[in-house]
Amino acid sequence: MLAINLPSAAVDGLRDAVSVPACVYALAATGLNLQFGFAGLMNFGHVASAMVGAYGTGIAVHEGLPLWLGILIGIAAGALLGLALGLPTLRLRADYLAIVTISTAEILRVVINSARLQSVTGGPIGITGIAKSFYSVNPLADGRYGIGSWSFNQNTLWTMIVGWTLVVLASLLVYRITRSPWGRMLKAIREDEEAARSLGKNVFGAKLQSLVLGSTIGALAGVIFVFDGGFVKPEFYVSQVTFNWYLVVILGGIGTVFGPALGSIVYWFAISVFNSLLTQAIGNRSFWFIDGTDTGAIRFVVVGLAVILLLVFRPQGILGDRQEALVRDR
Amino acid sequence: MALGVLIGTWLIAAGPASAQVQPTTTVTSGSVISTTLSVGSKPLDGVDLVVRKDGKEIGRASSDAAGLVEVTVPGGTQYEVTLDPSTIPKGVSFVSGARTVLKPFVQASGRAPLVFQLTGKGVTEKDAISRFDRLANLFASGLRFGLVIALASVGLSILFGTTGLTNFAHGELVTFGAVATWYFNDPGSVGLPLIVAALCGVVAAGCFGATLELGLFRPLRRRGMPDVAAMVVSIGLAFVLRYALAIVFGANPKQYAQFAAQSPTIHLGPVDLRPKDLVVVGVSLAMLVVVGLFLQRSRLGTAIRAVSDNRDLAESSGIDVQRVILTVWVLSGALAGLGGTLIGLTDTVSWNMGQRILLVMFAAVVLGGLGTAFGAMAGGLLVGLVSDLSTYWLDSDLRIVVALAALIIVLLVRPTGIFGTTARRA
Repeated sequence: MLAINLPSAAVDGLRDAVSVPACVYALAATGLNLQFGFAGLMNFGHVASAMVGAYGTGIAVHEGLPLWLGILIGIAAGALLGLALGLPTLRLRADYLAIVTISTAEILRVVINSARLQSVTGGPIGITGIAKSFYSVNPLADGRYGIGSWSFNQNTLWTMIVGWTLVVLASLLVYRITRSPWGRMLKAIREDEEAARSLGKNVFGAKLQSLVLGSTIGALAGVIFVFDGGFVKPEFYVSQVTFNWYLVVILGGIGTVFGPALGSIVYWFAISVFNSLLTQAIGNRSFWFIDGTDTGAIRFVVVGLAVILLLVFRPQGILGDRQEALVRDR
Repeated sequence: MALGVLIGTWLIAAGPASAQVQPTTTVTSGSVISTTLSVGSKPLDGVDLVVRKDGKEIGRASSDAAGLVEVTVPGGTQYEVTLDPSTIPKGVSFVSGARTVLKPFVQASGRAPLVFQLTGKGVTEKDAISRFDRLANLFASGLRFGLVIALASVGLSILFGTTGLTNFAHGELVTFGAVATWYFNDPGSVGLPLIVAALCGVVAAGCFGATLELGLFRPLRRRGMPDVAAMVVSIGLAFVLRYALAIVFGANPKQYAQFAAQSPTIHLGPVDLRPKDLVVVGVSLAMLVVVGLFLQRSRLGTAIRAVSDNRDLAESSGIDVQRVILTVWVLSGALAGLGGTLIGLTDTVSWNMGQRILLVMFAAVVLGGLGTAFGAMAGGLLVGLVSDLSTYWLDSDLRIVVALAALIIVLLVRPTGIFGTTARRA
């Protein structure tokens, strides 16, 4: 008999939908949406912006600087990464940009992971104990907040509050941008770059600005991720994460204001419920060649299928508009 | 199938402290420090390898009859590795000036091969491994790797040329070929001789390419899906295929049945080669020539190049573009599958072997010029050589960094690739 406990799975889903990782995904996807959704830039190395944000903070604190300075360094590193990626590559074709960005992200991760740099980056082990002074300014009293298993300790809740506030602020910023001439110019570039250029718009400048702004928000996501436990590890920042963020952006709606945040919440809810049900259903039994240890792989298969099915059947996502150029049928 | 353990858990399991937001693909069960001890060509038996960390001994093992000795360590740090002097046979000593204590940085997983330079009676200094020998061996292994990469990436490049699709699932075609060959070869499954199994595996990979075209990408083109969206679809497809292969094939790397045994080494001047290295080099070279002739001389090859050059013009001059694209998918799958089988020969077969070389293949294709078959061949050779030769100076895990850095530098200097023409598609 299969013993499926639906309420418990639902609670898992609701907890993860508001958790720190969901918030990190929302923030990172908001940045990615600025690049991909608004300006049409295929940044396949977006995870690198979160990585330099997290490592900028981590290394600074590790070297004895105060946390607030470390955060500023991390965010500046994200902006710098956007600049460094954009200056040489934005004149290249879209798919070249994709390959250069994913390559840069891999280079950064492998170098950070290298045991030779252990004294600086912590190598494969990473850096721990970064967020102590963030927890020390926590206004919440010690204890668990929430109902039953839908609950968080004071530090997690504090991180969530700060993180989701930043998500709201970033979304409001995007909202302002969509109503501004600059935002309209970005969309015009995405729809028809030549037309925008022939109207005298600085296409290169606008693309660069959107890349830098998106990377800065990505770095902020990395900083929030550091607050969740206070450590960084290179293995968190593999390229697959970027593709998860693409799924989040597409799910919420490419080029929409609140799509990335909504997409992240739905993504984490769905993944978590699915995982919970799968673990309960399979347990220690095995069907054919699938056994209990394969749940992780099954989840990736589902993520991949979701990407394909979304793009084929509902490319505009939850909130999007089917007329957007990136998904419009010719 | 302990895959769940290997790729990690996602956060879901625990509440507050779990920051495991995403999976790791590394196996963190430790690293193997290994070396083969020999004087000249004579292996040394029973010599102890001692591994220390901060002066404390953490591992020790004796060399076997082939001189091979392996010590498993947690990794992720620097160790001091020495030979126990009391176990070194009389008359054997270190080459003058050679290091007696090696201090390797060891990754958290994988292998760390070391070289102790030993000499003994009746052995001249020339027999010990010299710098030149090491470079020559790296050149040979780079050549082998480069040829395989060239072979595997040709399809990726032609596919881009004819359809405009940047196929991120190409790595999974590589894995598919290697895994299919493994099943045809495995005595517990089909049990064919390796050569027949490889042929079947390559054919299967070609059919698989055709299936992807007919079942997914052709319908999407009919719907008029933009190239960018199709590229993202290929990423989703890569996820599905990679982890489906992981579930079916299992998380542990496997070897082909007839090549698990050690075979004698062939000495070509300073270069030591295993017979299978020669097989790999020979097969890759031959196939590259065949593909080149096919593209240059045959009607279908000419049609492929025509579609690549200008699809509309090709279509209006009576070329069946859909049929050409189907051929390209078959070719792409078969060549990638052959590349995967060859990598499985010299290395191991694993569920993520294609993903590991995907970026290297992209580097090869872009270096040579996207869309050009011969560019991809030259680019593959270049990437293989550059990345393997770089291990002479750099840690071997930085190979990929060198390959990708070469890619970025070439793109910045010459955005069309080395052999690409200046006419770029918008």
